[in-house]
Amino acid sequence: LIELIFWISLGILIGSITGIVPGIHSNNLIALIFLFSFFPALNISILILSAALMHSFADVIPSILFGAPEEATVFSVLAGHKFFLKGKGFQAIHLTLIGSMLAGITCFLIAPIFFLFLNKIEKILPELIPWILISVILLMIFEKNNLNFIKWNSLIIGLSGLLGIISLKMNTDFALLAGISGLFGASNAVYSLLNKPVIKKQKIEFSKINLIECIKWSSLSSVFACFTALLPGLTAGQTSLIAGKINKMSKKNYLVFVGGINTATQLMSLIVLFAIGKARTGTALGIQSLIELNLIELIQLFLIALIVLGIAFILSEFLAVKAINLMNKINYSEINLGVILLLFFFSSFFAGLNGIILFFTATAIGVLCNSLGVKKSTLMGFLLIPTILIYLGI
Amino acid sequence: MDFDAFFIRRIAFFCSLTGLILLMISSNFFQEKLINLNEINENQLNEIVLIQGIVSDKKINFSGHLLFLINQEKNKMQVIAFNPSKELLELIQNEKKIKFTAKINEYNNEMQLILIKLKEK
Repeated sequence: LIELIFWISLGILIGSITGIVPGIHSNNLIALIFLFSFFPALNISILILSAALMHSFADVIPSILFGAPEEATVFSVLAGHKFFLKGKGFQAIHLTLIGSMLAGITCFLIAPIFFLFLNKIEKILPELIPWILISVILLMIFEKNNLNFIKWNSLIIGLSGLLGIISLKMNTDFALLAGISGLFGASNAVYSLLNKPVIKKQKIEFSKINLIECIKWSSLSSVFACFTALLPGLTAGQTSLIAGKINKMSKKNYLVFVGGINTATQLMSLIVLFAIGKARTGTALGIQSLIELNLIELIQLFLIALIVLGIAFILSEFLAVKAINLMNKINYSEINLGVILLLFFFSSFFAGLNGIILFFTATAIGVLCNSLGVKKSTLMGFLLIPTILIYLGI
Repeated sequence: MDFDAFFIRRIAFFCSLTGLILLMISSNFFQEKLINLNEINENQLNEIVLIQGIVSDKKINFSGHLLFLINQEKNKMQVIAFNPSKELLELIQNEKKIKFTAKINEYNNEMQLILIKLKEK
């Protein structure tokens, strides 16, 4: 038992650090295998799962407070930023944490159903996905019957899509990091530096929540997470975008949904790994390389996940309070400058010279999107267009 | 200093276009990159790649499709060419080094390449 507590605690500690530091993707946690390769495989699997789940909770903190997202938290930035401008950043974080925890719990109910239908979904969905994504793009462009709206949305989707295609061609996972950091993180910071918006002091106040609504939207995020966990190329960000277009959600509910999908994807990827032996997330890939996941181990990992969910919720709330207290002491322009420098450092460090050019180009496209008054979700063309091309085999 | 939105828009648009052009040049966008067989994984399904290797175990199956193995040092992978032309059948010979574009596919839980175009004969 002490051994188990040790590996869970270590995983939570590592996940807290990687979650809080902007620019580190949970897939990078696979590196833990090499660091701890001389320990028993099941223990390292527990470590990786704990770290990945904790990461999926903590990563909303820099996303909402500093506007520094990774792919899975793009939509928490977009929805959470409006809360942040009103001094309600903590409320936004709290809602996503509730979403993460409830979605993790509802995974226990949805997982057996998902297991039963997994093979059928795997056969049908790849045919449908490109057409669903094309419909989402058309919806984004023609949402309003206004020529300027259509023109500017098409321009942003075109530019971000082209950037996505080029970064795919760069053949490195870190191109995604540089692109997302520039489009959704640095561009907001640059635009804020240029325009100096009035930011209210962040208050630590809990949002009034409707538990039934929270359960409803987090359960839905677990259902959508099944698709993200099963289909290669389909990301949590894309799934959130599709869900947002299909369902009318309030901003609060959307934060619950977005928080949930990231955590639920980690758990559902274990079901996919167990059922069809395919690893669709870094966590599943790491576990696949360590153990041949059987039913007993799957149940063990799910039970461990339940413990981690509770701890991760409380710890992330604590970290959010600390981050907000720290943030209130620092000038907002200095924070923005710090975010730009940090994201630039990560992009250049991991993706090299091409990463730097990609980061600057993505930032410029993001700033263009801000200055045109186009919704930031339009920048998802960066992921949508390459995915459509891959699924259509072009 | 405050910047007017129109000015920001123009600068951002200029930087976006310049960046995209620079990226296309620096990442050899128009040049296909050679891939090693050991780099191919399930997450690349349906991707088009450029492969170079030595042909072995060439055969034609009962449906008339061409099947062969492409070998690179210690790695090998099955390649299928649907309805091959006479010219293709003559060009692909055992022990011959070839370069071709292919689509990554999965068949019977095994990674497989679908030949699209022979580049160097």
